[in-house]
Amino acid sequence: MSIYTTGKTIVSLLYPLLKAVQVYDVNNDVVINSAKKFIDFIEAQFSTISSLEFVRYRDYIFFNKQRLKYEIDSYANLTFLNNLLKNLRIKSITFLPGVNHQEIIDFADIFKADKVTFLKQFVLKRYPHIKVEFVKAGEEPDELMEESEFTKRTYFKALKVTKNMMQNLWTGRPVDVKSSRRIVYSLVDSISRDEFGIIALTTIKNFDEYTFNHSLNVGILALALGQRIGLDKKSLARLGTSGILHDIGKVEIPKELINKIQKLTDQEWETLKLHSNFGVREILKTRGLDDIAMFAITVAYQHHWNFDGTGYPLRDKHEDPTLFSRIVRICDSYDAMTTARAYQPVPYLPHFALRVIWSNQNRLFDPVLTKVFSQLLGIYPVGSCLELNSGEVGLVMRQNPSTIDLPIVKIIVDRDHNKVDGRTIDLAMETAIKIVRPTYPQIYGINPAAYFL
Amino acid sequence: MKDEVDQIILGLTKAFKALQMYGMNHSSFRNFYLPFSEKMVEFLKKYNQLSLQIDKFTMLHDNRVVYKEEEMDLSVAFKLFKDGVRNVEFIGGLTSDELLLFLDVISQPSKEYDIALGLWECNFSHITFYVVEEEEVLDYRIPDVPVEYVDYDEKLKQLILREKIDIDAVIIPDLKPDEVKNLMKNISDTERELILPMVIKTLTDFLHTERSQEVIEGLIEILESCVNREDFYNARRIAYKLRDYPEINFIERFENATTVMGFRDVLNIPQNELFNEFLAFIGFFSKKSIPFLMQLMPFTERTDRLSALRHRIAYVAQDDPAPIAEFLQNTDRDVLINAIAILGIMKASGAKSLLEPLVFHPDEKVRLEVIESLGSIKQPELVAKYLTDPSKEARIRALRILGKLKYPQVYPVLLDKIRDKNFLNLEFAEQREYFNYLTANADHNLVQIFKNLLFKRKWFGRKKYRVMRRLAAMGLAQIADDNALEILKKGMDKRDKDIKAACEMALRGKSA
Repeated sequence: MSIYTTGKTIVSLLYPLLKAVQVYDVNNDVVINSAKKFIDFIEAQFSTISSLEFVRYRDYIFFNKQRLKYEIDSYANLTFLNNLLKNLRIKSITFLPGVNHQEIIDFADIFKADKVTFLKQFVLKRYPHIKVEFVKAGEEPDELMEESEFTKRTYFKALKVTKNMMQNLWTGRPVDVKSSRRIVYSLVDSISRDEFGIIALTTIKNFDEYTFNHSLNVGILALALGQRIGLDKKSLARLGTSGILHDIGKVEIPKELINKIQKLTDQEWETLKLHSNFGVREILKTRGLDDIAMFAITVAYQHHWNFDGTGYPLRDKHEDPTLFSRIVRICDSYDAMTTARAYQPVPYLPHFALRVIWSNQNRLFDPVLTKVFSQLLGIYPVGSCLELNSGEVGLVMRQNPSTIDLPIVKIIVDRDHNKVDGRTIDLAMETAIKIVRPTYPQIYGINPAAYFL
Repeated sequence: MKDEVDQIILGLTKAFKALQMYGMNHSSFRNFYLPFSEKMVEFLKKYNQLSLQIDKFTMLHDNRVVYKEEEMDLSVAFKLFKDGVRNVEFIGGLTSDELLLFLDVISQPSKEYDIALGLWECNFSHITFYVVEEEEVLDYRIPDVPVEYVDYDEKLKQLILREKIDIDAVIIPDLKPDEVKNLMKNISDTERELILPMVIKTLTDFLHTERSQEVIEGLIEILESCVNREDFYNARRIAYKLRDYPEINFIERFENATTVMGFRDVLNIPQNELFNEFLAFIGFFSKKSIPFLMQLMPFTERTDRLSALRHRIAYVAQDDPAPIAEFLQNTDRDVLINAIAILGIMKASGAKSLLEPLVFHPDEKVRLEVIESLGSIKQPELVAKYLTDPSKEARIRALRILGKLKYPQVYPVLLDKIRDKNFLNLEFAEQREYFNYLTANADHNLVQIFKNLLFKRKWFGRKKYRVMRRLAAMGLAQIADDNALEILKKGMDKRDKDIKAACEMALRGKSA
């Protein structure tokens, strides 16, 4: 069993135990049985692993240094554990060989307490085979910076590769397939290391180079959604590439048509719709028919197919879009809505775009994927500007996986409407601060993306 | 430790070379691989990791050169180095499968293959590697945003109107168990690569919009890969679409001896569905492929499949007997028989003249097939020639076909024959075919003739004559007009046990 699977399994066994002690007495069979299952499993692990360490870091749970990803089958367990550790200010828990049934039950029992009582009881009761480390005030590990640098480097390199690829197609020059493949793998690595970090970079929009940023952003959002539903690395690479290449057919559409501000005529609209077809040809030209291209071809062709059977190009009644096409359909719409373009100078606010998607599930979008997408981005997606009851404006920096309507925000405008480099607030923890409503960053001359660089 | 590392590197070198030379399934490779794998696992149990630094032509362990090979195609170090791999680390817990996969990746012969990506895709649990990328200065400036007043409430109103959404709708994105289950199934379908039919559909749909050379070439590429993998279901779907483009001879690339003879395994594959898909696919072949298909056919073990294949080749020949006729001189009996059978199936106008010279072929099996084919192309006068054939089987078959064809010209001859005293010396199967023929070609006198045969008084040879009574009774039962049935009923009342038994049996057989 890999470290990752071991970690996931332990969390899945810890979850019912911690839940059980909140409801039942420690002598109840439910608690005893849950504890037994847990202890049996971890005892078996000690034959190959010397200690079992869980670290909570920036809303991620790491097991023996491997990050446990939020996937649909582990989402509830991980968010519960993350929330619990966060509330109790616990940085890490380590189980050592020799830990026994009673020790586990006693330990689980103190999780019912608030953070002060927990600390007291932990010190009083003494657990010889369980180590707990608490978060110190103002603790900000160096890794935070390192991770963010890697993520940024990956994003901008990916942007450059995407731009080169599309420009080469426009001008009929050969495309560097190797670079484009490698960059997708870097994005997959980046997503698996810090999904919130790279999602934050999708707030980078560029009016003049919409197509490049949009293509990359769709690729990233698709990867994040793909990871959340538990796709393996190979599938993620296929999905990421498909996301990046979904609009590649636009290289065959006249630029003046793409950038037209006025309403398109029927004929122009029909021409624009052909980009789905052209995408197929462009991918064939660029990549031939390798394994990944097969997926990209279907996504390029189907990314305007709606969940209810409508959309373009026309299709047979029994034909459903592939999983990847349904993922890209959502990500494409979200990024398009939240980006300023010639005919849409003021983009949709992220939270509004999400609501549009939510309201159109079953009609335009796959309802299950819509739910997962909403879990991923939260009610106020990263990059949203929020007016707070303190009179300040906060920028959503990351999601709280356990409380999707209470994100972590950075104060960027003070109550006198001055731009500031303010403090970071976890709205799930600082309950006195409430969201009044989302707001437009343009009002303050703010580009949210600047705060993620 | 030094010696142990050296031994592992030696093992790696040998296994790598063996894999390049023989491939993974060859025993020689296994002979090199297994000891290498065992040594590696033992080493990792003892030391938990083995880290190798990669240089252009060398590998280093603890800053000591442990491997050197300057021949690019043979150098493990160079293969890794050229794709940017600078360090490889094997970690305790490494399995033999992982090591095998690692070797497989690094021994890929194509120069285009990216080893770093190959290793990445393997998603190893116990092998890590470090890849250097080209360092680039990535300068990116976030565009400035001018201050612009946006009336939030007004904008919101506009958007709600435009999007027709309920802005206050509660978002509860929890998944229900059945939703999770369906999604998981969807993911597993995606991972099982059920994408190919969808790609084919996409590309063929594309061709409805416009004729694109890239798309057609793409389809041909998929077609080739399907044929190589014996995926005739998808191959057939592509071929069906490409038929719309007669100027592209997409099938020509498969019409050669190597490809066609490569289908040998498919002929005897257990699944009928797969065989039928194969049959459907070769329906797209042209006459050019017939020589190869003819050579392929004798490998078919099942008679039903052989028959289906003959029909398919007849279809491929498109009523033109010429390409099949070439095989009528073939010395291989199976090929010759197949050619004769296909001519029969084709029912082509020139088939008679092609088959006629074979009527008296010395080989009985060949003659039997000729009779069948002559029957198929309705040439009873040639079939009739077999009534005196030395082979009983040939005679029986000829009688059967003549019966089916209702060829009255030999009727008087055969009638005389059954009246001949030597008729009783023939075997029952042949005797029966005579009666079948007569019944099938019956004239108004036959009932009376059968009646006479049935009721004939025999003082000597009664026992031998029983069979004549039975056949006559059966003939009457087959004719089954009022008169014939009346005779049989009367026969039931006869005191002669043989007559009674024959009539009883015939009537019972009829009612059954």
